[in-house]
Amino acid sequence: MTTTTTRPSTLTVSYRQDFRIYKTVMQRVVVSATLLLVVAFPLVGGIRQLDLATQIMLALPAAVALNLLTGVAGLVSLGTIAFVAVGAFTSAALGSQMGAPFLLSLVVGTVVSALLGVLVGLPALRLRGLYLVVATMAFHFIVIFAAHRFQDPRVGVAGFRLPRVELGSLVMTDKAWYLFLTALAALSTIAFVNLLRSSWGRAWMMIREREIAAEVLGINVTKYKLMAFALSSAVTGFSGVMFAYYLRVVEVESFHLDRSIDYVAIIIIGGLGTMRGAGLGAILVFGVPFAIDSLSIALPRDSWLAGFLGFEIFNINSILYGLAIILFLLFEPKGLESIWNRVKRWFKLYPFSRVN
Amino acid sequence: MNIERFFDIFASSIPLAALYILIGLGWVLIFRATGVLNFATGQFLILGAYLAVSFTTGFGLPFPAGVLLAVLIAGLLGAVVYRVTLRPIAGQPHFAQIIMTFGVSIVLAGLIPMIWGFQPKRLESPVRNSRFIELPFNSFFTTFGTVTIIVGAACFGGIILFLNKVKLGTQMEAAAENPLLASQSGINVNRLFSLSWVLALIPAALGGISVGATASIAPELALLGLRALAPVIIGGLDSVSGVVVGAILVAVAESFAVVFFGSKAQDAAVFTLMLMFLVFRPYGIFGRPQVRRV
Repeated sequence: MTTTTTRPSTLTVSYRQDFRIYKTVMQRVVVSATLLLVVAFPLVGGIRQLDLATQIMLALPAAVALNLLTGVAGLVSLGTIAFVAVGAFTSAALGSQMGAPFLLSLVVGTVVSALLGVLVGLPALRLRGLYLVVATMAFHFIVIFAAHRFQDPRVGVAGFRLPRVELGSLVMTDKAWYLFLTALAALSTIAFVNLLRSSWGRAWMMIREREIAAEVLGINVTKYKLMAFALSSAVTGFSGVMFAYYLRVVEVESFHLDRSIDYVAIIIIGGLGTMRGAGLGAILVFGVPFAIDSLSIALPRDSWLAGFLGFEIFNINSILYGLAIILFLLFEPKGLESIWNRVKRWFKLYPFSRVN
Repeated sequence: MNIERFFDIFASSIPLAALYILIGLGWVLIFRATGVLNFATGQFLILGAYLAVSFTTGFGLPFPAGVLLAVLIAGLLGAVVYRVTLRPIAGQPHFAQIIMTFGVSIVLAGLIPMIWGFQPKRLESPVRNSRFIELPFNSFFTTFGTVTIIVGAACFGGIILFLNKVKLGTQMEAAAENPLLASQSGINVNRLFSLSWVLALIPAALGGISVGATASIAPELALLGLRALAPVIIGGLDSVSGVVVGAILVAVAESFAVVFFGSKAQDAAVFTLMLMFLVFRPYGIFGRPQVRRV
């Protein structure tokens, strides 16, 4: 999905050129610079900033997975956080209750999530749109109930404690976690971009646009839908395992349905079906509460606004966040991605920007 | 389990069914008219209850006047929300509209505790709760339970009558059935859509008030609004009468699940039942199957 551009440099004369990920030198430079900035971030950021950045990196693979399911394959899901919970509670069962190593939890958590994903995908073969949203929501509540049954008699409201992760001689400190999660987020991004370029990606998009036409063209709709569910829930479960081991506590109350809406908001605000969208959306969704929090800390302690912010921070976040969803849907349904593209075009066409 | 216990659980599920009918009407009427699943229903339900508390104990209005004012304001606010947020994106995919209602729900979830706080509040009602109607096998309906059943039945009957006998109601049906034809025969479709939001949220707010009188009102009550989606799906999303059957099924399932598996099983029981219907009979008991044309 290349946007129409006017520069000759993006016109291609061979398939090889057309299939390239970086179509211009500029793209390569921008991506490299972004990566460099992201990797160098722990050197400049303080503890709070690093935690924010880690949270974003933690959320990114799941957001990318949801973007694949919803944005690309057109299967709408409110089950993201349920799969995160599946990964996290598998880790709790293995890592906290049975003393299994991190890597084993990682593998088992991912596989269990993938299998459950196929199970949820089965009704999805019959249901579409509205009904699928409702079905995945039902799945959420069933998972939460199962998690309660597992947690309450064993550890109660305190939640499961997980050991610190040690990979060989490497003890995972905060900075190590950040770099590790950044690598994983980058990996999932690359996988996502490449999947979109493959026959799978094209099949999913075809199913999203016209399911019957896809079927007529010989695309095995059942297979590809289940595949989308399996893949996306595997990645989401994987990110759930990371979530558990990074925070080192697994507690059922942290997997509220609202968190699933967070992920939907990330891909809506960012821009459905685009990779940059998931990233920009995650930055906005996590960044705004952080900014408000920072503001309330930075303001003089006795000022009226600081007191108000400190007292109502939870509610203010909620209102701003809901407003962001509403305003984006009303005025910019294609999300930050489309703003980004507009800005880019303005610069590209610079002296003649206003004509277009 | 002896027969007395069985009847006791069963009797307690009837007022719950009435509650689900009230809130379920909120979902169904909005879906029929505007094709939107309103996930903010739970917040409107709480809003109605909190408003009733403020009007009766805060401003000292008599109980019936306070309740009436509260449900009317909740309903009108619903119409405003519809006009401002959902009307402009009508015709866009269901998904966008659903997320929009989630956005509304999140905003309300922030605004409501800002006004009324997180502490549970109780609605002081003029009547006292006691054993009101004796049933066989030593089971009974409480006063509030009886009132909920009456209000639920009255709302349901009133809406059925309104939709079938009153001109405005039949116009509403026509607008829901085929907006284009309806508007061409001179019906102001937009006005009717807004009106259907008012009409839908009034019973939902009444449901919230009924909970507020029996138990207490707290932000977590919004989950009740979400659970009320189950009877609607089970009855058939576009069927007003289906809500009654769905509500009874869901209420009985919930009551028994809570007895056997504890209060945490509420959501899971209700949504498992709903999921089973979604898998085996997605359009519910009375819903019309959607036919896809190639």
